[in-house]
This record gives sequence, C-alpha cells and structure tokens, in this order.
Amino acid sequence: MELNNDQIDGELVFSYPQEEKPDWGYARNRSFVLKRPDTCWSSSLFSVTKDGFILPNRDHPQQGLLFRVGGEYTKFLDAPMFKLLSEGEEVNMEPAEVKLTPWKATYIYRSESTTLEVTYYLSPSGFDNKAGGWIKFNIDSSLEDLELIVSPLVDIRKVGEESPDISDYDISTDQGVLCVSKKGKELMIGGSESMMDHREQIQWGYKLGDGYREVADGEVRFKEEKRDPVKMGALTFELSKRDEVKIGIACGKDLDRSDVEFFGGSDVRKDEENAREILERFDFSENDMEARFEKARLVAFPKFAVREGGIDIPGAGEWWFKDVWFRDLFESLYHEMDFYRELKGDEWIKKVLTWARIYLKDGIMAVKADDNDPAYNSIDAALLYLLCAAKYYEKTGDENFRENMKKTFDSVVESLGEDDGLVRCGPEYSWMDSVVDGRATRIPDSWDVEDEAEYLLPEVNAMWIRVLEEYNKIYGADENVKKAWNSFKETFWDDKKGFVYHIVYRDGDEEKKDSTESSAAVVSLALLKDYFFGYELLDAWKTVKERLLVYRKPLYFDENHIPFGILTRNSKKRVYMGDAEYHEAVMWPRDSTYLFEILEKIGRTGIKKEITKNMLDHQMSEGAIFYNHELFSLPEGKNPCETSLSSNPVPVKNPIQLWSHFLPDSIETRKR
Amino acid sequence: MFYKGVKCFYTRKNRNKLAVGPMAEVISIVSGKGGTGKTFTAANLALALQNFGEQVVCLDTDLDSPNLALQLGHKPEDHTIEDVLKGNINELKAVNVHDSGLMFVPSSLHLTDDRVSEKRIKSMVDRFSEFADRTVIDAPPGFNEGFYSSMGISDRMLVVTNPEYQAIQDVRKIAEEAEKHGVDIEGVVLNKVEGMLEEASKEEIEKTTGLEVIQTIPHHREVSKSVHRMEPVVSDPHSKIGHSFRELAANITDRDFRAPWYSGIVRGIRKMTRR
Repeated sequence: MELNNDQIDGELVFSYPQEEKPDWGYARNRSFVLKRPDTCWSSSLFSVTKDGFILPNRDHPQQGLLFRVGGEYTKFLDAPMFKLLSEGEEVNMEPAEVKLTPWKATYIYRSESTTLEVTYYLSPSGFDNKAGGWIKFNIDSSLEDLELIVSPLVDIRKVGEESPDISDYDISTDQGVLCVSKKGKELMIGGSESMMDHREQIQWGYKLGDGYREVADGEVRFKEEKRDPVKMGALTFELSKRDEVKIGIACGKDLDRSDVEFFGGSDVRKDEENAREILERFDFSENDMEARFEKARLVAFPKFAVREGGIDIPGAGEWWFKDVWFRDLFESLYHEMDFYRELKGDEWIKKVLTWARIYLKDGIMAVKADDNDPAYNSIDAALLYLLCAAKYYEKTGDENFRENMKKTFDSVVESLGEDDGLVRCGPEYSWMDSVVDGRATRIPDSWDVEDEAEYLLPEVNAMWIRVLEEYNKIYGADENVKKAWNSFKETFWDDKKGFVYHIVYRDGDEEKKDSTESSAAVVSLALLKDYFFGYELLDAWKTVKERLLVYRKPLYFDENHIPFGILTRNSKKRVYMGDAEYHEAVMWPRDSTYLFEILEKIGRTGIKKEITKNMLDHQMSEGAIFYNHELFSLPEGKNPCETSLSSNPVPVKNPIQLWSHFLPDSIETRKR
Repeated sequence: MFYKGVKCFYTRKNRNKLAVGPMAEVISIVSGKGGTGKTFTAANLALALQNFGEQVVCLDTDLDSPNLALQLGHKPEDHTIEDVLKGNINELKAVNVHDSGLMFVPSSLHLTDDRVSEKRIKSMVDRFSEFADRTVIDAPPGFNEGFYSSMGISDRMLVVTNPEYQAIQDVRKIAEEAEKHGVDIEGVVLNKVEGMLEEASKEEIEKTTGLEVIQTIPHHREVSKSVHRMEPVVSDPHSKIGHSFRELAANITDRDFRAPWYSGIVRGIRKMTRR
C-alpha cells in the first residue's frame, strides 16, 4: 500500500509518493489544497523541472495561491521555482514524497548527499484585503558552499481569465522584499537581501484544464488549457549544511513589507490545536484506516468558508465556486445540521440563516451571493432554505427565530403553488440547471416544447410539500398538504415502473412525462419517504439498484467493486465531455445524501456504509486530497492509459465541492 | 463551465406579482450635534425592535464618525457603506448580521471623502425593503448633506439630545427643517439625564421645540460599560437602560412592554456578587 499515515501529537499526516496517475488522461492525479476563508493554495502532488528549477506542478490553471480581494477571486502566485546549488553547480535531487495535513504540505526531494524539504503553509484568513502564508526550505546536506535560488512564477489575474501580458506588471525590490503588482493587486515575497530585477513570461500547459474533455485520436482526454505566468526576480540564500529558510508571502492590495513579516510569522501550531479541538469532540477509540480518513474529513470540513455579512459561511468549493451558492449551502446545512451545531453552534446557524434572507426576493432565493446583481433563477434554494430553518427550529425551539422567520415562510408559500397544489417552474431552476444552446438539457431531446414555465419537477414539488407540512406544523397554518401530495402522486408516480418521473410537462390537456430514471426522482422519494408506501420505496430501490447505482473499487480498502453513488440520469449520454453531459449519465456524490434516507427507511444501511467508505477512499486517493469531486464520468470511451483502476468512475470536474463533502453516519455515533 | 445565473426566475403564479411589496418603514435617528448618544440610541433601538420579532436593518450613514458597528461589537474591515457608494459591491454585500439577527450596514473606520446622496441611500433602503420590516438610520449629526439625505427618505425621525440648553436650540432647528420638508418627527429622546438642577427639563424642551419627549434615558454607568465592551445594553435582558430602549421601541410601534418584575432583583444580585 502506497499510503503511509501517522498520527503525530494529534496532527494528521498522510504521505504520498510524488507521482502522476496516467489513468484516463491523468484524471486521478492528486493535489494538495490548503483552504482558508476567501483564500486557497493548491498544487499537484508531484514536481517538474523547468530551466534547471524545480517546482510543484499545477494540472489546473486555477491552482496556485488565490485570494478574494475587491470582490474578485484572484490568482497571485502560480508556483515557486527553486534550485539548489553547491559550489555554483546545480544539485540534482529526485522528488521523493509529499507529506500532507489539511493545513500544510511538505514536498521532499533527495539525492545521495542531500535532503530538501519544502513546506507550503497558508495563514489563517486574510483581513483588510490582505492574505498570505509562507514557504519553508529545510536542508540537510553533506555538500559545501550551498545556495538556494527561489524565483516566483507569478500570474495575477481573476480566476478563469487569461494571464496578463508581462508589461502589465510592475516589479520592485525593497529591503529584502520582492514586490509585484498589477492594477492595484500586489504580491510580496520576502526574505532575501539578494534579488535580481528579472522577468520572463513562460507559457504553461495545464493538462486537466477546467475539467472539460474531448476525443483526440479516438481517446477521451482532458482539454488542456494554457496560461502565461511570469517568472519574476530571484531570491538567493546562502545555506549551511543544515539550515532552514522561510519566505513570507503576502497578497492583496495596499500591502507593505510588514505584511510579509506578519504572514511569514504565522504559527502552524494553531491549526494543530484546532484539529485537536475538533477531534476531541468525537470518540475515535479505534485508529484503523477508515477512522483516520474520517478524522481527515472532519478537520477539512470547516475549511469551506468565505466571509459574508461578517460571518464565515461555507462557500460552494473551489475555484469558481468560492462564493456562497445557496442551494449548495442549504444542502450542506440540511444534511449536516447536527455537525454544524456541534462545531459552530446554534448562534452561528441562526446568523447564517438570517443573513441568507437578504437574498430572498418575491419568494425566490438568489442562486449565489453575487458581487454584482444576484440572479434569481433558482426555485429549490428557497424551499431548501425553509427546510433548513424548520430543522433548526425543531432542534433548538428558538422562539425568536420562529417569529422572525414567519414572514419569510409567508412570502415563499404565497409566491409558489398553484390550484392543483403543485409548483411549476422553468426546467433549469432546480440543481440540474445546465442549458446548452439556449435549451435546458433536462428537457428530453424528443420533446418539442417551448414554454419554460410550464414544467413540473419532482424534487421541487417534494420540497414544496415538505415546506407546506413544516409551515402548518410551526405556524399552525392550514395549507392543503394532502391535496399537494395527491397531485404529486398522480403527476409523478409511474405505477407501471414503480418509480418517479424525471420531468413532467403539462399545459391544458397536453401532457408529456419523461420516465428516464434519475436522481431527481431519488431526491423526491427521500423527501417524501413518509408519504410513499414501504413497498413503493422498495420497488423504487430496485430500479435505483438496477439503473442508477454506480460501483467503484477502493484503492485503500481491501474490497472488490462496491457502491459509490448514483447516476444523475440514466441517459444514453454516458461519457462526460462538458456542459452537454453535466447532468446526464454522470455521478454526483451530493445525491447520495438523499439515497441514504431511502436506504435507512428500507433497512439497507449496509449499502450506505459501503458508499461512505468508498467516498472516503476517493477523498484520500485521487484528486484534491481531503476533499471530494463534484462529478464523475462513467469509465466509458477509449482510455489513453489503462491501469488496474480504470474501471472506476472518472473524477472529471470541480475537485473540491462542499455538497460532496457529507459526513459519515458514524460521526454521529462518535460524538462525545 | 457552469450554469447558474442565466435569467430572472418566474413561475406561472408569481409572474405577475414581481412588483415591489409594501416598503419597510424608515426611521432616522438624528441629532443637532455630535456626542449626544445618537449612535448608541440607533443601535439599541434597532436591537430592541429586532427582539420584538421584527427584521430590522440598521444603516450607518454617519461616515465621519462611524461607530455603529463598534457599538454592535464588530470591527468593519471591508464591505462597508463606502464600498457600496463607490460601486465596488452591491447593497446586499454590505449587510452584516449581529448575533441577535439584527442586520446592519457598517461605515468604514478609515477617513473618507464619500458622501451619502439621497438617491443612493434610497436605492439601498428600497432594496432592504425586500427582506426587512424596518430600517433604522444612524444619520450624521448637524445639517449636512447626509442629514438631509436621511431626512429625505425617512418616514419618521427621532431626535436625540442631551438636557443642555445649546443642544435644545439644535433640536428646534431640526424641527423647523423637518416641517419644511414634510417629515414627521416622532419625538425626542432625552439622553444622559442626570437630574441636575442646571439641566433643561423635559417640559422646557417640549415647550421650546414643540416636540414631545417620548423617552428619557438616564445617565448610568451601564452605558459607558456597554460602550467600552461594545455590547449593546439591550443584549442584557435585565439592563435598566436596556428596558428604556425596549419601552421606546414599544412606544413607537404601538406595542406593550413591561420590564420583568424581577429585573431589579437580578441587577441587585449581580451587584452584590460582583467582586
């Protein structure tokens, strides 16, 4: 087994070899992701060389050091390039392993004479538009006259955008600090008196791009993206045989050199204490692999955060999902409320729910907390919001909160629902929201339908029924839940198949129903599990098992293929390439949280455990270590490089996603 | 890359009813000069209203003396009203949430040249109407542009003053300006009353200004303690001054409020057990 894991004084340390994973076009390459509110630092877990310099690789153009400043999530540093000289000659070292914790990454390089450790650390969150961290070099060598040269590869640009031209940068040096700026955004790197005012633009290919794929020479590959970072200046350090060099880094705006010292002095022990504090709340008397993976998941969980309304609120993920996306937030709050209560407390949940209300308009919740004018094009978010509020009230009995929420419940209930008790909306207003060439992909290709407001979506209506039920319960209202449920059953239940329709179109006498099996049906079955008969849920489970269940062989657990999750849709489009297949036959872990509710209800908890275990295995074996991908393609099409794990689902897009990071049930039983 | 944010949502049912609903009431807290306790009043009144079950937004338009956030125990870093005025962020991004659920928009602690125009502040308050029942504005003291902007969009104003003869003249001027602009003054909050002979009496103030003194706030050590600790007095359910603000909040919203009978006992016990 390639993974070594030690627990040192409560610190979670996992070691990986520095290597690439060629399976499915390097889809399983690993990376470290250090997350802080508004900030992130990431590189892949292997190194490359360029012009004699070593640097950790970036497979995605958004990896590197990022910070949200002035409302823009901005990349500052692509990677540090460095080389070690002895008596003026380069010291050739081989990349050995990487030691990871959720807050620190140490790359180790070795030769016969030398061991070099390079540690990356991101300081606790930024303030006053400033963030930063440090890079530490530890050397142990038998060579003489050692010199370390570090040259930052800079790329100051908004996430997703192209690199600026080399002439857009200003570079200066000031008392041992290298300062690079572009239109008011600055990067400062400090620690050396010896610096050269040097710059060189380098075109870099990021082979996993943004997760999109294409068929090239008959093989399914990722679409590489190119950017043009600039190698800026050089910091030179003379070293003794056993030495340590620490380079402070600050980024943001209105920086001065004291910021470099401040961030360079951040103490990693605080993170160790935090991790210990989290873990001490739970009983981990055993220390097997699964328990250690669970610990890592727990410690990484609170790292989803952005600062909004003076509160650290879980953002949807990285890198273009750094903002708060409401449906993602509420899915997480709804499914993990007990954990949030334990970790963050009731006041925090109440503040988040109160804050979210500002994004509710005419009964509709904005899609995300946008810096520009928010778009009000989701319907499930408002319903999920109320379900979270109801759950919070049920658990806390907070009467003041209940009273404050009354008008919000009123406005949503008043805004939605029609004479038959159901809610109609555009087909892309729920979480399966992809639109290609102006047409929602949720509408079956064979349907010739135009009016987007006439659709009935099962998951939306299931949420609606639950909201009505809670509204009656909490406020003594008299909404006709029975009528809504009867309409739901009549509209969505496919009696012949024993399953729920994926989408229904109804206008007067004209009616179309799509019977493709989908996770939207699973979500609605879960939400209404107490409404359906037990045998109906068993029938539905049979369909899920036959048509939607996806299997995966874990890398670290000695198991054969075990369940991993469910397909979004049992579609004929079975290979993810891009937006057109975003919600087709792909697997989204977020759906598993709903599947678990059904499995609980029908007593199939063993499958739930297997899925959870498999997700933990994914978390620690591929993609962003400690985190979970948002979606996986089926392993179909021609694989450029077959390996023993090629039959596993392929992680394709969005490697760090909040709603994929659900916690195992066992966490609940571990509470002290 | 991702699909989220293509167009404005509508359902068949709400298609025709996306017009703005009833506007939230705007109450401005004003004073003729600085140092009267205006911000203290705004913060505690807003909090008292919030605790009555309303959703309140408190807006700091006093850019030269930006103390609202500090009174509520927050240090504003970015996302302030200045950022909104500069167009860096939208109004919603500047809304902070206090532990009580009270929402507030802070002003930057840094010196600024920004000014609050009536148009900009109105657009903010209109936006807040979508989720708030009431907006309380901590307006700048004196008779500058910020004062007139706040007055221009207010449904009612509360004037905070101290029992000093000079301060009362300022109140009279505010009353005249309000009348000129057709804005209702709900009344006067007489703050820092020590009961000294030299102080202007409630009756004198009412006679001089033509306005009713609707609440008297005694000078009390709870106040300086609250300011130093950055904890509003209303956060303490038994604070004597906190009860004054609850009374004020009840008074201006036609509610009944009676302080719990045991509050005095609680305060007494606290006093005895204090080391």
